[in-house]
Amino acid sequence: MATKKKVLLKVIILGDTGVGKTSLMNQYVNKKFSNQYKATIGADFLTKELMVDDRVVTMQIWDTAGQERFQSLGVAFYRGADCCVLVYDVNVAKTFENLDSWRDEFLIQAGPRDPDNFPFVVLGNKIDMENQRVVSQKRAASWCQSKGNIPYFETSAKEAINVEQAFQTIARNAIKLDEGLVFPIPPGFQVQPEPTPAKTTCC
Amino acid sequence: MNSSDVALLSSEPYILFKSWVPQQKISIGTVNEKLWKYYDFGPKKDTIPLVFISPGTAEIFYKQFVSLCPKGYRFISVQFSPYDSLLGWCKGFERFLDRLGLEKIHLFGTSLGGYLAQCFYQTRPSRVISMILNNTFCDTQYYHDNSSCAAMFSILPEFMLKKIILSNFPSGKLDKEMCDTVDFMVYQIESLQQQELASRLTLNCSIGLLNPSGGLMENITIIDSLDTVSVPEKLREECYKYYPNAKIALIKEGGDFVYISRSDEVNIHIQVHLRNFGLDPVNNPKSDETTNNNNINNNNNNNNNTTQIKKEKLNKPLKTKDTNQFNKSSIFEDEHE
Repeated sequence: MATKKKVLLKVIILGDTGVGKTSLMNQYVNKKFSNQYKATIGADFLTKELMVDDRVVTMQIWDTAGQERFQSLGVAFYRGADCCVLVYDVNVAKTFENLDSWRDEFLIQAGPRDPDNFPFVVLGNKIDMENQRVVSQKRAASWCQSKGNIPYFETSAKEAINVEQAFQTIARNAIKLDEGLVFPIPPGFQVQPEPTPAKTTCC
Repeated sequence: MNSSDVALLSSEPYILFKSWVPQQKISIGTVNEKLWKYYDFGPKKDTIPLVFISPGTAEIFYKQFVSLCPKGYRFISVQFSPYDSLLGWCKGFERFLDRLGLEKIHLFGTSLGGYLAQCFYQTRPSRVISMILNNTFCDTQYYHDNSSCAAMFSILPEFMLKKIILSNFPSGKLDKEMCDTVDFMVYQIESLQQQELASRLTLNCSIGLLNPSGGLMENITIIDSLDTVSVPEKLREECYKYYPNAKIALIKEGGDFVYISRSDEVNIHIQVHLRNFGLDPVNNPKSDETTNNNNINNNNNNNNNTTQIKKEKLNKPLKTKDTNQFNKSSIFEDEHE
């Protein structure tokens, strides 16, 4: 009865304008990087299939507009998210300080069932511009720890540093949520504690 | 089924739809009357519409009309007149568009409607700017092979035709929203007449019209729910392969009629899709004509020139998007690296 159900993970990327959300997504999905900045309007998504522990998983990655005025899709957009990726620019302090409000915004809009354990991942982007850095790794890591041990990655969409690893973790954490809450119960089965006296069966 | 049993008929969006949008009719036949029923809502002037095609009635897209048209989109939903061949349908649909004065359109097709949309696209590529497909297939062979009485649909009584159609409907354990949706759809099917039902089944089971080599067009979004049952998964996946450059917008659950049961998510995908093809009344109320025209040209090229190099194709979706969203410089040449 163990039918292999297709897994779809919805991942939402949030963060201030210009921190590299679109670039990270493009680097991960298309292995491409462009230096040209272009504001994202509203939101758009890319899909990528990947393997997580022998399972084929389709990741639907939503890239959003950092600018408020372009955010027009409403609450429904956040619904059903399996993981939220918070991105900041390690070279701009303000983008780090705003992580709090992005996180809150997400929790309010998405209204996950268990907000304390909802999987977030934080990415400190643009580490290729090392000499301009203002947010230390320590500072970022301690913020992540204070929010319930959010996994933290330092990335560069430009140099493709840590992008693959970060998204692999994103998928892994998202799938945990997916399995924990909506694991499909085959029709005809009831959720009951397993009868233990079945021990007589030989192995 | 009694109308009082159908919860969605007394829901707010449906009531709003009924009070806002009048049903219209056009007869395009000369000797035989060919009556097309449709709803047309949203700004008429200079707005390229999204035309919805389904095998059911035209009302089933009421949730799209009610939530998106007030934002500035023009939607048209058709309940097509009975035809007994795919080619006949395409000609009829073209005449319908002519009568409404629509030169260019976007298409949304679900199940058989999706197949018809693809047929029309292949016969008249220049008129279709982009296409959204939902829960559909790109080959009718499966249905042709599996229908024992395809040649007799036109002479079968109404109740038998309904039975054939409803036997394909989802059943079993469904959540409340999906149950309400199925009830609503059954009620809608009930309102179709014998000729309409026979025509839909005949078209569904006739020999396919689509060019088997598929298309590299990338102006297509396929919205599918993972738990759809009426169209076998194998057929839906063939569709993804048939259009390797299409954008696949999966929805976790929602069943066969996601445009009702998960209308929020479908509406988001519709907006994202249309924005990528030059329609964005929310952020860009007066979408520039030139943007649209560029687009049309792009798409036509893609469509006819199926031999285009794949590599280039892979880069393109982003590019087209960008040029459409912003009517600014289209210099994104680094993508060729």
